[in-house]
Amino acid sequence: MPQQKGKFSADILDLLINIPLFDSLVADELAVVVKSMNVVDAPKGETVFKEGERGDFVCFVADGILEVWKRSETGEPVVLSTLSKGRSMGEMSILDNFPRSATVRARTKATLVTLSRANFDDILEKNPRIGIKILKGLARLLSLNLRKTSSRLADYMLPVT
Amino acid sequence: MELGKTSILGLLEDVDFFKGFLDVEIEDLMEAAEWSRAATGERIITEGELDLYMYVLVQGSVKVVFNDKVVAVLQTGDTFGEFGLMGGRRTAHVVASSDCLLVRFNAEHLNLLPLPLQIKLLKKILFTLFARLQKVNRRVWWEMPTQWR
Repeated sequence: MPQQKGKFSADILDLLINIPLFDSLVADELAVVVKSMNVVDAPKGETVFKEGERGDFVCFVADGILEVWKRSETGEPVVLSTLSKGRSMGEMSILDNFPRSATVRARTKATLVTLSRANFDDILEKNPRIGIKILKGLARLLSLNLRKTSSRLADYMLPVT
Repeated sequence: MELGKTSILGLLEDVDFFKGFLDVEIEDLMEAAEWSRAATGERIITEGELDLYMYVLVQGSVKVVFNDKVVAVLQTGDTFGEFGLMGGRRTAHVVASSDCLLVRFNAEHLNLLPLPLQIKLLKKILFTLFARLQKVNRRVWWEMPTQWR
């Protein structure tokens, strides 16, 4: 994917302000994070993540629509959801090289903002307070996901007798 | 509750959550920690409440009750209530299903720890949460009919 490093800093800042992961960061801190990010263009149809492959970056959608694909019980790939501006994927990859849980493909031409694990490690080392805020944001995000998924599971389960 | 340094390290040795921390880091963590006990049937976390604690189950087991349904049973070494640490309101009850020994951490106390230790602890919490999320996701994906997902 072609990268446009250093360009569009103001655009990235606008994007990050509205992303829950960075909720508790003030403008100066966001500026530090922006410097560690890359802008990547994905042409229509491009595979951004492949299910099972190990990743080392988190991805934020700046423009365009992405599709999340996963294999069903029968091995048939199905679209789980779509992602548009402000949504993120692969957040845990900034901590460890976890396998991607689904395949992500660009439904339209898309612009993505990425943060690599190496760059996040650099933030943790040089600006630990900023890194800690991001880690807490990530914990909030995971907790919310867990809560949403657990409640769906609870709705489906039979009451305890 | 008063516990000697040696007996604390001994108790925590078998608790997964504390694996990977150095003894000196455990000592720092214990400075920030509070110990508590819960008797069988006692409610440890109440749905709807707001508090800034996360819990590590050192001994015993608990059940997570959501809308009158047990959504999870947690055992020694498991953690719960992490969202409280982040300022989130409680959305489930947590009830002791046997006599429990617990270590709990308050968000404000953790903020006083050395920064590298805060980072290490947060990463540990994130790995724990992520493993739990993957487990729930797998259940949703494999056990629930498509229209429920």
